[in-house]
Amino acid sequence: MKRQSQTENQLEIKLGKKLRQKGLQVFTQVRLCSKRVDLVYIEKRKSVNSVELKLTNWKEAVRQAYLNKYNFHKSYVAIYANNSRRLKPHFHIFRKLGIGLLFIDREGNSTEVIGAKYNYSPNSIFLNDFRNKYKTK
Amino acid sequence: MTNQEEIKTYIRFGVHKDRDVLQNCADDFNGIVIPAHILAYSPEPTVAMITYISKSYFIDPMTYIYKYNYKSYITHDKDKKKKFKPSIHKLTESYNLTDFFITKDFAPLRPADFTDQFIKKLLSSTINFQKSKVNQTLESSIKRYEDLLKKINIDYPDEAGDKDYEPLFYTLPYFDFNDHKDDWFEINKRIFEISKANFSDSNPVPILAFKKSALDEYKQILAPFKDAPKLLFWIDNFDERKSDCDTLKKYRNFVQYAAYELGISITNLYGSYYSLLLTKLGLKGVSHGIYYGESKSIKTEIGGIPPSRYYIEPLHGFLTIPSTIALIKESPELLCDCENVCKEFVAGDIERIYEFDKNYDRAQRHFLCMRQREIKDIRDSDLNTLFNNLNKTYQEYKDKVSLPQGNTFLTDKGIDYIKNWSLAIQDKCNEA
Repeated sequence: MKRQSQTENQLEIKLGKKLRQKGLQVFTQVRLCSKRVDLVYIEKRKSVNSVELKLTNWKEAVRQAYLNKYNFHKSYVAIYANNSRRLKPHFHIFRKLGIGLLFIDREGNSTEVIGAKYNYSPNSIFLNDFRNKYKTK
Repeated sequence: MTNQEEIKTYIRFGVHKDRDVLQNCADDFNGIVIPAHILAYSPEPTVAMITYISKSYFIDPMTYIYKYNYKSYITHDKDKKKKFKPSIHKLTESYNLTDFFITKDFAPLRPADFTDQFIKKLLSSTINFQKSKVNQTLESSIKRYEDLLKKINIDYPDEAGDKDYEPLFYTLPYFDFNDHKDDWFEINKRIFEISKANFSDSNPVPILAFKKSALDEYKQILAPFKDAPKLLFWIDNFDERKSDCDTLKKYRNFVQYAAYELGISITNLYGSYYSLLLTKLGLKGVSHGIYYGESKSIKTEIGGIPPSRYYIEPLHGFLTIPSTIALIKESPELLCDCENVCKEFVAGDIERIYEFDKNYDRAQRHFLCMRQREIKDIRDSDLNTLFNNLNKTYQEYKDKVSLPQGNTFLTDKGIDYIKNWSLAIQDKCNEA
């Protein structure tokens, strides 16, 4: 269990680094009330997106991403690519819920397998709090 | 219970920052449960609350904690000597047990410690604490106020401070047990027997704290207490929302046997909506915190507050704030417009529910308002109607909280608890 969470953490750091290299603003372990969002990044057009990262437990990741999608512009689940094969039969679930899916390799490179549906009315109160707290650009 | 009979609800006092909410919502409950260690450690603010809320109260003597030896209960002073943490230290002083525990090097109580002499001493100190602590604290506060007024030549008004703040009833010291063969069960029995022989004028009420598995033998557990007019109970770690139908039925049988066969007025110290439903089947009262404490594990170390959450009255349950927002976005009819809080604070804007995360007191006031609504509904409806409402709610929302991969976006098992509650009372509907 401990080993797994460390690896998840390592993957989170690597993904964050790669996204930063693309010029995106990245924040990890962002507080959303009583829960923490693994990673939040801001795209150039100010779209604030969330990522729930899991090595294997994609169902729990979808549960968390589902809650995120009401608060962010886009909500993603990121799964370690090595464990991604068995997810293929479940792609329709991501599409149905409007949740994006990223596969992450061991270096932290991400591939968008399913695009996230854009939420035109994310929770503005939460996002204002987030922007104030993290002093986003 | 007839429909018009009052359901007694007691709010368990937890932290002092809840005092304002209790004062604002005093019409939404019948009384307060004061944990003895809080009264012992912070008597003045606790007593101030009792006086300005002006509700009846009783004291939980909290004696079971002496059975345990949690690290957080013991600390060390500058000389590296052991001592209890401050609130338990004060409680122990109030019960005149400090020397006893020093002699034992703060080892937890064992059944062998409970000689008749020790039980009498424990009974005397715990009942005296309940009898005198509030009024003594009040007198000392008034005295200080009088002295202050004298210094500026103002007379203290004669009529002020005359009111007596006696508890609603006194409670017996208690220790949790596993089953009727447990030595600790014998000790609770002995405490009750000695109280009847020596403290009958105080008429103290027994508290039974036991494991869920003991519900299988409820007759043996209740038999020694059949003379008690009142009884409080605490089923260890019994979360009514996480319990299966079978356990819920056993709990119901326990309540009905105590109320109807033995004629005891019984109150659950930690209950939720299912316990409120059982007031239709003999339960006299239910206690819980504001916002927390609808179940409690005996092994929970005292202290701490839970994260912010929001009560959805139609589902009779708490949700995290993100889950609440997700649910209400999909089912806007669940958006609350209670006069206490939501009508003004949420004002129809689902996004504003996020603000409850930072406005803990508002979420608490909303909960108390919803709890009152539930009580009114139970009081005004028969069991058949309540049963049908549970089924209707379950059918209406079970799919709305489900995700396609098989779990729900709520924690645990979604709203299956509603189905379990209805199944647990189903066979009693036609009888009631």
